Amino acid sequence: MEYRNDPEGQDSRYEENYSSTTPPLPPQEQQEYDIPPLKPGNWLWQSILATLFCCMPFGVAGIIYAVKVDSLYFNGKYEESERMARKAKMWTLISVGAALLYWILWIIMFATGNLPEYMENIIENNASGYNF
Amino acid sequence: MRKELKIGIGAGVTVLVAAALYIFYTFDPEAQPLFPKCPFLLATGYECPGCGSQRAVHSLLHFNIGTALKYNAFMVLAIPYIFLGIYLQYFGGKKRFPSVEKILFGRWAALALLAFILIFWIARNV
Repeated sequence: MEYRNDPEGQDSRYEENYSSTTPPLPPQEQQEYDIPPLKPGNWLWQSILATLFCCMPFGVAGIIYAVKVDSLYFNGKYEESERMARKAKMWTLISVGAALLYWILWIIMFATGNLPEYMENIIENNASGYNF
Repeated sequence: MRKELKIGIGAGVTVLVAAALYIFYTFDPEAQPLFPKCPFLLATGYECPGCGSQRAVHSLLHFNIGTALKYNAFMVLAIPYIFLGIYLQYFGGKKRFPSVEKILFGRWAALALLAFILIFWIARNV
């Protein structure tokens, strides 16, 4: 890790060296994506997993962002695609985290007998199984 | 990421999944109130796309595929897809079958799945 070169630092050093001897390099904007960056992971199957097992509609938000990741990438908007990938990841992880929290709370409440009354009523009324 | 860390995370996930499968095999979520109820269902009275997954997993582990399909058909159908996703991402499938990744996990697949989930969500509550 420590030995890895910082690409940005290197670039600026090169530019300094060049500026003393040669005219400044033309703006790199157009050249930047000659070789497109790798497509960011779109978190599609992870969000589906979260939708199914974490039972949180947040997982659906993850799928929506997964759609955006791919369509933006294939339209050449790599940076936006990257940003959507981060959002997809965020919503998937929110879904998983919320489910874990809910599960832990449920077990604590169940173990200490503090399940709110309405939940107990629901359980009794739906003995045939409204458990997700 | 360092290789040892990756192996450690993999081992941890495997142990957790095995423990969860054991619990879901032994206890019936239908009969045991220990299994948490879906918060969306408790709050709204409507089933979310994931409702029924716990019971479906229990049924699947006992090879009652018909019952599992009745509890949550989408989950049963999604399991092979998720395994394919895991294989492609973590076991080198991406390099070996890039076209499979592009077709089944690309934007049209994502759109189709999104539409399917929304339809499934509405249809199971009608």
